[in-house]
Amino acid sequence: MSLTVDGIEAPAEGTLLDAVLAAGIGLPHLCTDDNLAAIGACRTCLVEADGRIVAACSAPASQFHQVATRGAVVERIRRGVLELTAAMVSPGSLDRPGGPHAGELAAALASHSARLDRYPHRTRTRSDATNTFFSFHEEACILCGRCVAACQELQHIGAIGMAGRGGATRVTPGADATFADSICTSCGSCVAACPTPALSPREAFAP
Amino acid sequence: MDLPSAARSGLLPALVEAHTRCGAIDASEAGRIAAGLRMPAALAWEAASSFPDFERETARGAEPVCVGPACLAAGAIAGPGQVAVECQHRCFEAPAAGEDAPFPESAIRLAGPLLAPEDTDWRGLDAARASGRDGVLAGLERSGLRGRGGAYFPVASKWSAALARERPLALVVNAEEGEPGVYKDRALLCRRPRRFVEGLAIAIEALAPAVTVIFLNGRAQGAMESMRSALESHGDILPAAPRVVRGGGGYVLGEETTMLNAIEGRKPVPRVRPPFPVESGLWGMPTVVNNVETIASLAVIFREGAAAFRARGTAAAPGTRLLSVSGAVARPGVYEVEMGVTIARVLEMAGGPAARPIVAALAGGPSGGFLPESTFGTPLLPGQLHATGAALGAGGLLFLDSPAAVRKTALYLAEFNAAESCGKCTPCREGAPRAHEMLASGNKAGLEDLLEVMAVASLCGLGQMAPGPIRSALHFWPELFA
Amino acid sequence: MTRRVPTTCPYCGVGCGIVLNVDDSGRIAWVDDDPANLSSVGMLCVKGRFGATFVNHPDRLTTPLVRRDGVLQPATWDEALDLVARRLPEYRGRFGSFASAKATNEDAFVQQKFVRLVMGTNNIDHCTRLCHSPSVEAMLQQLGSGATSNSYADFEAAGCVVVIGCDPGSNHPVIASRLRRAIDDRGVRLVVVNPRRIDLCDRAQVFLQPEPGADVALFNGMARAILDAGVEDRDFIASRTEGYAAWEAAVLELTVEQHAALAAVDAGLLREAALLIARPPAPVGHPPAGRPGTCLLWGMGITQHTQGTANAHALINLALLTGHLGHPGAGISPLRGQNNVQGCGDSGCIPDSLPGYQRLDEGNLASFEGAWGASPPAQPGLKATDMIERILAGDIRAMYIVGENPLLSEPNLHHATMAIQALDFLVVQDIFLHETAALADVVLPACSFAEKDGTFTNSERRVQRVRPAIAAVGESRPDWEIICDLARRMAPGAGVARGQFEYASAAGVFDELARLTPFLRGLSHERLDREGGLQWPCPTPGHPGSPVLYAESFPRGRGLFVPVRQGSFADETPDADYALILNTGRVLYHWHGGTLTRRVRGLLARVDTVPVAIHPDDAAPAAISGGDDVTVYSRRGRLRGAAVVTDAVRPGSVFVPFVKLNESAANFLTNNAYDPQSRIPEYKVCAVRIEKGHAARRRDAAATGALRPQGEAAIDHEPVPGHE
Repeated sequence: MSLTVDGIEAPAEGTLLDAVLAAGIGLPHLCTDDNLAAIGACRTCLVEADGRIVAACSAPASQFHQVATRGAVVERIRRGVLELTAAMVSPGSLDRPGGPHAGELAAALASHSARLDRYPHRTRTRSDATNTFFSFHEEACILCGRCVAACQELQHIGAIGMAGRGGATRVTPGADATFADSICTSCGSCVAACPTPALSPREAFAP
Repeated sequence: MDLPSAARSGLLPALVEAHTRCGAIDASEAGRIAAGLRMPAALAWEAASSFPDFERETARGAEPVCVGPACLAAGAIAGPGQVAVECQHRCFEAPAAGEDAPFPESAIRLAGPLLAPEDTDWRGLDAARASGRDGVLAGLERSGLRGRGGAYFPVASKWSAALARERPLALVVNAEEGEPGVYKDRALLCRRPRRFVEGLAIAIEALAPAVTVIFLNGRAQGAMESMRSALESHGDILPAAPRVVRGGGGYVLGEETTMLNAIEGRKPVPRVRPPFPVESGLWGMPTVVNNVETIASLAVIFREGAAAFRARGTAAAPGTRLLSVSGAVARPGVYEVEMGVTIARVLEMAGGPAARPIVAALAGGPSGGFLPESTFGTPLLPGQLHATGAALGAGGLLFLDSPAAVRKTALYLAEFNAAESCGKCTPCREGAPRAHEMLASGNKAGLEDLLEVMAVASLCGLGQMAPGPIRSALHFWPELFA
Repeated sequence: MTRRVPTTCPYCGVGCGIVLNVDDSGRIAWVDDDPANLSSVGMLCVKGRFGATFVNHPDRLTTPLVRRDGVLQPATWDEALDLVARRLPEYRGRFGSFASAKATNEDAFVQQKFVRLVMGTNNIDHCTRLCHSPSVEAMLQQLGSGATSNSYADFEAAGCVVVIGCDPGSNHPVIASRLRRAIDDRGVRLVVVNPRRIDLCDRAQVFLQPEPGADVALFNGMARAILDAGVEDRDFIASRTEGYAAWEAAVLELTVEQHAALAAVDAGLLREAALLIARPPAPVGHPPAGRPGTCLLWGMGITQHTQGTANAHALINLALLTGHLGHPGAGISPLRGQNNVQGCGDSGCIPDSLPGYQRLDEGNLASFEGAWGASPPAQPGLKATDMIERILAGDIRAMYIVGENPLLSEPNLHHATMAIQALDFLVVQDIFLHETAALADVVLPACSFAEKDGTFTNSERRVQRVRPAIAAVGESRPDWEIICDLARRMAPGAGVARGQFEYASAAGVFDELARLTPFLRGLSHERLDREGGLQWPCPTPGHPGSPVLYAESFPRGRGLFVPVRQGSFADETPDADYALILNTGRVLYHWHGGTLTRRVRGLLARVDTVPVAIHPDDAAPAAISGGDDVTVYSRRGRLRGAAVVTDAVRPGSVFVPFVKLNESAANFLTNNAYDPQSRIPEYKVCAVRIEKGHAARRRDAAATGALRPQGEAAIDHEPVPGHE
């Protein structure tokens, strides 16, 4: 069975996100990278697949035929999710330098012409600079869960978790501890995964 | 069977134990529990801090007052020296006290085969045993039984899908019943536990699960004691004692993958699907999740025969189902009705209005929606009852007798959904509180866009259906939210 | 614009894929993981992620150095290489060379070719002598091949994994991650055997904490327990092994209880572990038909003993007894410490065999002569530790040391320093002016891993590409190019054709290595670029590589049971003066002696003092609390460190990582006593005492006059008077 994405033939293997990216089409995927299983938290990779709107990161490509990343409804909803996401970060916090994927949120907001002030901001403000190699600034954190998945599911360390629930959820080392007081081994997989500058390398790579 | 991550699956029981013993679980207590289980502190803390019950002190000086939707509509308010607690699932006696109590026989208002007095033999189980796995599956197929948790998925299809994996599988009974306004599983477990045990034995007979877990609401102490005692008295019909795991609250626990995470000692948040639990659920095993009422229905089906079961209800939705009726009616309680009965008929069975004429019904609780009296001819069937949100769901029906009560309940539900959002996905976590704020403030510009985003983009049913009460209230009573 | 260069991590033997992100200024700006790499599957540890910046450290050697008037001074390449080419021939017959397990296969191959053809000796060895030589000896004798039998992926397919005498969490962190994944996600059972409680013990079903040096008793006790329960693999023993009867007799000499008592472990736990190893339960997702296997992983805790080879025998006997060889989800895995310690041996840098572990027999010598136009010498050479000892005997007068720092890695460093100082002529080729280089007559600046082309072979026999990401620092050159340049200058005098050392590229060197090595013959840089890393044996270009060895038979035919009995625990045991046992190892944040990691700011910031772990029972009488300055003395030296009071170590023992920090290193204390077969030093056991406070430092009057490397003072550790 063939799969097309925006009219382009794509391999019907893996997830729809794989197919979309393989077709060379840009699509935000703020909680998924090539190192992690689908998390399903950010809800920014929505596409219209055979008439339904689904998150591409967790939809098996083999079950669909026609996928559209463009279209008034699906783009409006993606923009809506991105605008809610933008309301989580404090203005300017996305401009800081960060890890290799730190620009992903900013790029997604720009590509969707998302309004950064659509919703009143509700940012969190904790910072943790206790690790030698990286620091954590919650004001840029969008709770996508990549860092936690990298720590728990990729490296199986479990130094950080998503403590609390609902609006009180926050990325937290240990049992409400700091990175330095946790079992963090500084593997940096969290920094490598972060789609914003929330987790950013310190001067480790400075000459 | 030996289970992986034995330490981790000990977490939730350890949290429940610690909470019972010394009240609210803070980070340092979570750290101690983690050390005892030799697991990372972050993992224990992210789970512990996600169950609302564990934030609460057990030894409380203040008298608890239930402020669930039915009690709220009945005028409940926490006065001086009292503390408001969420729905205690005693809506049939609203305004109710804020503590669990065994479900009273008197609140069973209408009994069918499921709530009929218990039998003294095991004819249903005997029949199932005689027909073997294939016979049970065929019988289930013929009966047309659909899951009573709210999704109404055909049970035979679910079981067959899990069995088709040809791997050791898990059976999980969802006895969380955390939806405000619903108490029918408590009724079954407290009053007809033997029927539940018989149904469970039939399921185990057919599925031969490697592990069976009953996930029970942490606050349903009465149901717990009754079920325990039934499992002990009738343990001889079960090949192995099921593991009983108690939760720590949270409406989202009704979402089955969230419950599986909780059982595994993980943070209770939904998983992405696929894989579906029948493919890979508890500890990666193919997993059948059925609700208490579904399990108990098995005893009825195999006792009476599939044809007798089918004779009730409709062709697409056979059988009876339990409704939890509350609010401004003369006789609130559990009603066992045939599928397809109208809301008007239910109101009539419940003795009509208690005092003032009924204005609206909330069908499906926080994941449903409001219906005005003019639509009460709608038959109660699986799926949506109205495009704005009302749904049969788990069978909760709350009757309201004033527009003010509709407004109060709608605001309550919007706030409830915001508070119960697990926080995993952005549309629900960020959207639900803002939707509540907009509704409360009357500043509704952009609210419909936001509700659309929540409904379409959220990860699980909680966020997807949270717009229902808001949309339906705005649709039928726009003037209330100006 | 960032350039992304996929390559292989330069630290431990796990061989993680890394992607160097290089910025416009040509510096490494970030190191990414590589999900496509089958060994690391997207994981990395702190050293791989944040530890690459040493390549741009200001201490990098940028020009050749030649000792003039007693001082190392900058020189041109011609000056330096001409001097070496002039001096070395004088020492034919009295010459030895250390190759580098950190350099590439190509570097190693060219170096052994130079030593064999141009210097006419097999006196070439590398650091495997100091880590897994007993494992290799035992595996060669019992199976006929000295490499790990299976793959990392097998840890996740096993029913049980046994981690023996190693701390993967510190030394092979990505292996630790893969183990945790196996345990957490698949329910694989873990048995840990270690005198020290390591982090992985949190996930262990059984943790055995034996007396150091009692490994033979421990494994024989497990074997006895398996025999008592009748759960040995009789089919495997009958069809795949020999020597069983003699071995069984040796094991039956003692009961489980007696073995356990010797090892100072609980007999019940020993039995539980043994039965788990023999018949592990199926992990999640295990095919119902197959029998779940057990993987045995081990490290220096087995090998670095005067009984090292016997320990390894006891362990391999256990694998033969239980039949956990030759199929997926089973096998034996010595965890290799250096990025290319496997490849350095594969490429021929060992004194008793040619590339591909081909014996120095007539046929092999003839075929190498056919390829090289001259024959390698037939007489086996000296092993690394013996070379050091033979310097003092006057038999070795000149050395060419590439990418090794014996004055940090040898045991009893005062003794080793005396030896190195006694050389007439020393050439050191490296990236930093370390302790050994500071004593050299000529220092040749080599490129780091980030500047060169080649291959590393990891602990699971996976040959992986190394690619240049940044420009060569200063005038540094790849090791193989330097050696070729030198060899061309010396070849005519040695009767060797210059053309033997003319290669167009590292790929050309690899092609020659592959041509001469049957198990690498199917590999080339081009193929590795196309397909990613492949596991040897890979004999033909169409062969997919070999994740699992020994499915049908062993290279020697049948697996050989070798009877071993528990001997004395160690060469030096505690007494009234030195009442504690010193155990050495490593910490996560430093790699080996620290030559590289001390030059990574963040890593040094994490651990900047030698931590001395001591049990509370031993700390209390000496009034030592956590964080206190302490001095540890042995008969050979002393070190200053900071106390870590923990019950993770056994009472009566002290654990010190062998990284050198603040001029203190464990190897000033360790004992140059050797395992008779493999000649590995007993790093894991010696007798020490500990005192609170830091002994005053004394300057070494006999300073070498060497150029002092920054941050790395010349040797100032004297023997404790009266004990040398």
